[in-house]
Amino acid sequence: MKHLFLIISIISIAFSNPLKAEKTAYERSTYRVKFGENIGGTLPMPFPAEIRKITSFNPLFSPYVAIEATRWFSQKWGVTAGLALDIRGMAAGADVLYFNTELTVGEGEQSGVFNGTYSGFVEMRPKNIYVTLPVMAAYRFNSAWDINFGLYVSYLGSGSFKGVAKDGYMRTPNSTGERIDITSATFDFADELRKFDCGLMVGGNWNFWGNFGAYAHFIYGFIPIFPGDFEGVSGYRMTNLYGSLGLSYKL
Amino acid sequence: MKHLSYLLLISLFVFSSCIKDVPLNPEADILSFTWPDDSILISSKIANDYINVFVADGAKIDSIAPTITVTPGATIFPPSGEARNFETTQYYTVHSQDGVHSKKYSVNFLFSLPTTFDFEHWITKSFLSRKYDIPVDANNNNIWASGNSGIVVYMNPPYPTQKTTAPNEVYSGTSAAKMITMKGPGSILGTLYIPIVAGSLFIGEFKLDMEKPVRSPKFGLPYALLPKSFKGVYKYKEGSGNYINSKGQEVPGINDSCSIYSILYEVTEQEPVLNGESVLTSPNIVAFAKVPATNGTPGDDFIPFDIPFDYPKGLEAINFENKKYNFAIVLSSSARGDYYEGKIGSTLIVDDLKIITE
Repeated sequence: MKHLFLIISIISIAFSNPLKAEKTAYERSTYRVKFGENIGGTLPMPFPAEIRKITSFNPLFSPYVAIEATRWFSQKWGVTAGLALDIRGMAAGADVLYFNTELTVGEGEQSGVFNGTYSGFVEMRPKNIYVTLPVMAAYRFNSAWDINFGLYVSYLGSGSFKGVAKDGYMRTPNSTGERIDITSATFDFADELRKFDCGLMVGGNWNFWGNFGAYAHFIYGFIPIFPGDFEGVSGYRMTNLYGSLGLSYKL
Repeated sequence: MKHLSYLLLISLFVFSSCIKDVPLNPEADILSFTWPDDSILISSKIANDYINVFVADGAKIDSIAPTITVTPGATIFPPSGEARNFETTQYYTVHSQDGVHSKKYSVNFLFSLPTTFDFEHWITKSFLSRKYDIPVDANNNNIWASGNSGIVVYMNPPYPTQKTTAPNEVYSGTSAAKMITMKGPGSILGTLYIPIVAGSLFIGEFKLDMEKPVRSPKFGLPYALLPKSFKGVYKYKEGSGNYINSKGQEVPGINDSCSIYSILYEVTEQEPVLNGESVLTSPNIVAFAKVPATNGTPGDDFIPFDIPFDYPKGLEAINFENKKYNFAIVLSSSARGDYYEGKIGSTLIVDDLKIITE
């Protein structure tokens, strides 16, 4: 919450205009809307040796819909702030070997924790709907090209992290334990997802025809999507790593 | 579209280039246990941390050098090929390739199954911090199995199959076997629905089959005697609520009942072991003794039973020279516990089982 106030203050200061507006040769404030697709993934970092092969990848329908405002301080430099509906999703299939996992099974007082080492095929489908606030420095090359780099803050409106394990086996509680063959099992780590993310955002925009443009950006999340003590993915840091590609329109 | 495909290709390449070297194998299993002159061998069973080797009565086992194979990359001590005296339990330790994990196996040579089961000897098995008890024979061999080994994986104690020492629950000695049907954990991993778990105890092995849980109990261990009658004492009371079916629905008007039976069946290549689906119907069954179904024994006393074995194909069908046979005793607090059906609270207590042979 504290961070949100800080960001809103920065945006307000950037856009407040206490002095009388002077005539400048360049546009003082520009506004833009963006509509594109997020392509990327939530990856375990460092990349585990237990993942032997990525067998499939699909970015799914993961739109990025944003409105951005840039306050220019000179011909070249400005500061951009935005508000976006940022849906980050993917479906990735992988063959894994000896992947440690911890799942909660059952309900109520009968529930227990199922620990084990899984080997076999697994498909993960995170789909997280964030509200994202980027705050970036902007650099304008000319009327067609500009780039921005800075930080973003995201709040998770609703998220799911479903998975299917297929045609494999589990050794439980660890690799020297009983072997259970798994034909198909499903799980959902949605309850464990962190509500906030923040990280690096770097992007660019090319106005190719009048006010219409194409944008691209890349984000790198600093905050893993699961808390540190969550063992469902062997305790690896699940990091948001997404690119976004789409159209923009200068208002 | 073309650009999108390129992007996907690049992403896949980026992900593929992240793939590291194969991790060192953390498993430490014995995969096979044989020895050159195996004419005395009837059958052997490798479980997760023990091996039961059934040999012919009177066989010489004081110096056997087994050939043992283990998980690729793992090592075993004492090594394969070293002669050992298997008249007593011998231990082997397997160390995994990754150097972090190891597993100790106990190797037991058994001449035959015992014929009396007094439930005086129990061992405690643990799964993480969860513990449960299981009876063993007088030499501490693992011959009994129960559904506990599956239930412990996804539920906290107490577990349905228990050792009891309460004075009114023991017929002779200090302990008896108690089985209680309990509320199950519900949905497991999106594939299994377990509304209730019955207390079960049987001679054989329990291997969790998530696709068809009714196949998890594998009944029977090698046997080469003709059983004449099945004796013991028991008491049973069905649970007080409604019968619960495998979908978790309450079905009023149906009684629960216990299972107490013993079978001798032929081991064939097509059907080497009977499980929950086949144990009552397999054509390989040659002898069968079952305590009649009841929803409760009268009063609070132990009721004795003495059931003669029925030989549906006649005694002439049995040929110990050329065929192999397995023998099992099966006990359960809910007759359809294999199908996750029964009444919560149904309790069966059993003591002093005996097989009278020819």
